[in-house]
Amino acid sequence: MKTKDQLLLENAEMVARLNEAEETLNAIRNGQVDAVVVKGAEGEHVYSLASAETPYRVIIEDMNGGTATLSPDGTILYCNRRFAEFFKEPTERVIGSTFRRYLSGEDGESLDSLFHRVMQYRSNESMAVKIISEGEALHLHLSVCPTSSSELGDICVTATNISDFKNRERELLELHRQSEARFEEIRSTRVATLNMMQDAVEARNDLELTNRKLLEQVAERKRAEDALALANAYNRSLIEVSLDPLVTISPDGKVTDVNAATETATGWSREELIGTDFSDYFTHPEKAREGYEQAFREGRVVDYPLEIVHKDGRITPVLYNASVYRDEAGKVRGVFAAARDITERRRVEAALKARAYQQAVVSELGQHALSGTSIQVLMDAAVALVARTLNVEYCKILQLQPDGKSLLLRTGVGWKPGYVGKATVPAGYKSQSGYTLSIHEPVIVNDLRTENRFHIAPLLVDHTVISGISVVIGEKDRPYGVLGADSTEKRTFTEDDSVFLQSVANVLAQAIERKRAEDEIRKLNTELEVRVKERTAQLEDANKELEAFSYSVSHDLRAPLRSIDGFSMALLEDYSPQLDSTAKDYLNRLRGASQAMATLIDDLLELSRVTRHEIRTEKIDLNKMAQEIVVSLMQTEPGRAVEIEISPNLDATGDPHLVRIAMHNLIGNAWKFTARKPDARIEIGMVLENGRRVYFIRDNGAGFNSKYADKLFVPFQRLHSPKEFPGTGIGLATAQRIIKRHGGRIWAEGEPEKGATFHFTLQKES
Amino acid sequence: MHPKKILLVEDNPDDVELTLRALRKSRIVNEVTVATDGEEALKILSEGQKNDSLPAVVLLDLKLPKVSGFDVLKQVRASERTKFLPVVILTSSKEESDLINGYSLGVNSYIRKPVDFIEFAEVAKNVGLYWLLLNEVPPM
Repeated sequence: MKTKDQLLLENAEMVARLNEAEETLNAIRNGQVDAVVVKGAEGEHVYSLASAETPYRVIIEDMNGGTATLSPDGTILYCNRRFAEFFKEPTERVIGSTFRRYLSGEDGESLDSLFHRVMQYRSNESMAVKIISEGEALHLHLSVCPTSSSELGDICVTATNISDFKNRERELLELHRQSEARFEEIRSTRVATLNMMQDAVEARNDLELTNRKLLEQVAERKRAEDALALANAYNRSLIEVSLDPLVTISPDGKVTDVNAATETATGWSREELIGTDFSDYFTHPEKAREGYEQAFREGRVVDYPLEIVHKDGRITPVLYNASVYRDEAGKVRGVFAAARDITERRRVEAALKARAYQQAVVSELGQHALSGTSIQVLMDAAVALVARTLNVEYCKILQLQPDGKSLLLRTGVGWKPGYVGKATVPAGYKSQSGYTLSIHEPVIVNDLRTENRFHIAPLLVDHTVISGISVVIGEKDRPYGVLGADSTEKRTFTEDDSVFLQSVANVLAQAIERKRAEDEIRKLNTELEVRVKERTAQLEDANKELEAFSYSVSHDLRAPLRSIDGFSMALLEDYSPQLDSTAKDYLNRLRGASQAMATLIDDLLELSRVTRHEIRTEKIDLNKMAQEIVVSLMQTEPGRAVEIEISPNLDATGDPHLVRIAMHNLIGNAWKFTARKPDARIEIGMVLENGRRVYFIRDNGAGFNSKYADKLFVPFQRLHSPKEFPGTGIGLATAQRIIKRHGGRIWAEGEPEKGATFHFTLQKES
Repeated sequence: MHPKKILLVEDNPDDVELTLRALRKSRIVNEVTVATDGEEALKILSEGQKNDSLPAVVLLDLKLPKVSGFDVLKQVRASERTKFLPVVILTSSKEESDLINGYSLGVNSYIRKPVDFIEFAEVAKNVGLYWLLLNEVPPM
């Protein structure tokens, strides 16, 4: 197979020769040539131009190729001998018949339409047809063109036998060689031969064929190239649509190719980028260089962080993944590097970091609030933290005034002197803060200059605030005020910022609410304290009155009794002879009653004293105390025989004075109620019940019915008649009051005529 | 030697009568001067310039009109003339505060009047015997 270049060379030569041939023909026509020598089968003929018409016929007749002229309907008007020979028929027979007659149906139709085209467009056409004559197939190449004059017919057909193309090709080559020699001849002799012309025409035909094949080959290659181009275009488009900046780098660090994303990231065009140093487009060129050097050295680099610098100075943080690529021979040609823009990731990371920081700030403030700091200190801390966290010049807390018409700048940072504590903004739609309160939602202002939801208060105008964010402090039904952050630069506050500010406001609201509650409690406490003091004073007064009363009672109630007793006694002593026994009995009853009343008064005074007495607890040896009491009782009634048993270890804790009174009453009771028992027995001891000391005084005396156990401790309640056992009915009430004042408990068990047991404790029951 | 006198400071006439009777019953025949209030008692004690005119013992009730028993005691002890004068509180009260007050102010004895006249007579007898016969007073 000849190479394309060879074919093209041949083709170019052929075209050149053809041109020369045509020049020769023209020369002949124009009479520039004197004669043409045509080499025929029968030798050479020399035609002079003088008999031009005849010689043309001869030329045609002698042509190696078949030629014919046809009418538009395909009737062969004239043909040369060669043409007729293709059909193995005499010329006379061929002329006058239609071309179609020799063709198969399909070829015939194609030829008809070809003729039609030639006639209509006066174009040169060609086609290959197959004819069958005398059972032999013959392939012809037809070259069809319209005639310049219709003298010989309308269509000119030149037919070439291409049955044996390879032979023809060889012939062609031979022809080339011959014609070459002949052209030399012609050039030197300036005489063209008819043969040469004939060859030239044939050569042209062959050349056309060759050319066609050649074109087909070219077309095929073109298709392959197109397919390749298409594939390349496909790959290229993939690269171009990639959002990641992609670049190829030569071993010397030059950019060899880029995609559109790289152009976007750098701000430089592809043309500007290619050929420049890759490392020039980064914040740290040396680091970029290290990156691709590593890729060349190790074959690849993964997630290599760099920062692309845009033409306008903008910086894009990226992670590079790079690997080397090789040619067919395996030689490293360059590095292919893909950058992943991590601006968004960085932004998200930064946002997360900011959010975490904001949460930490809220938490810190919450901690601060819990530590019991004053509201003012907490607010000062809050505005400082907010200003720092949101990176704004101003932060403020506005307190809604009691009249609801304005808000006072209570606390803030950044404001000019003289504003904090004094400046106010109107409520409602006349200020951002008022508006925030009105809608009870966070309000974000990107640009106050274009704000139309509310009016701008002088406070913000005075400080040339452009952007701001504000939230409500406190609940809707009773808000405290507004927390705001303001910036003199145009800012876009995010949802996170709004959430953060609201969180801070909530911490403040809680602290304020707690403070309110605390103040209320404190107020209530103060009121309560005042009331307690009042009550205490009243009680003290009542106590004093009671003391005065008791004093009077002890003095003044006893005096008449003494008179009754004393004068009764005087009567009995001084007037005894005049009094009969009944009168004496009455006087004795008077004396008895007055003495009983004196005892009653003493007992009542004791009960009253027990109640008023201030308790001073200390260790008491109850064993010793009981012995002393028993001794005193024995002294009052020396004649009585009572068996007394006192447990040795009777330690107790209580007020010795009061406990002695109680013990005296209880032991005295036992003493009294065993008076009629010949084998009287009193036991004083202690048992442990659930770890508690329970003291008891047990006797085998008169006892009592258990159903009256409750009545025992009620003052003046007696279960026995004074005749049976004397008493005022106050002793057990006094004992119970003493026990109760110690936090203890006293209870009794008993059975008539069998005895009674009194139990008591001196400790509070846990 | 002048017979020893008793100053009874008592506002209740019944008590005065009963006290005198009790003393009589106990065969104590010393002169008894009765003051029915504190003011009168102080007046009696300030009268006369001689030690002889002072009673051997003052029986002092606490609840008295005008000047109370404690105030009388206070002034008696405050006076150079009477600071060693034996004073016995004879009262119905046995309140702790009264006892403490009395002894704080320098009383020589504190006796509660019993309701039972027999006991009262016994008390009167003992007091008379003690303060009039047994007790020695410092030289004035």
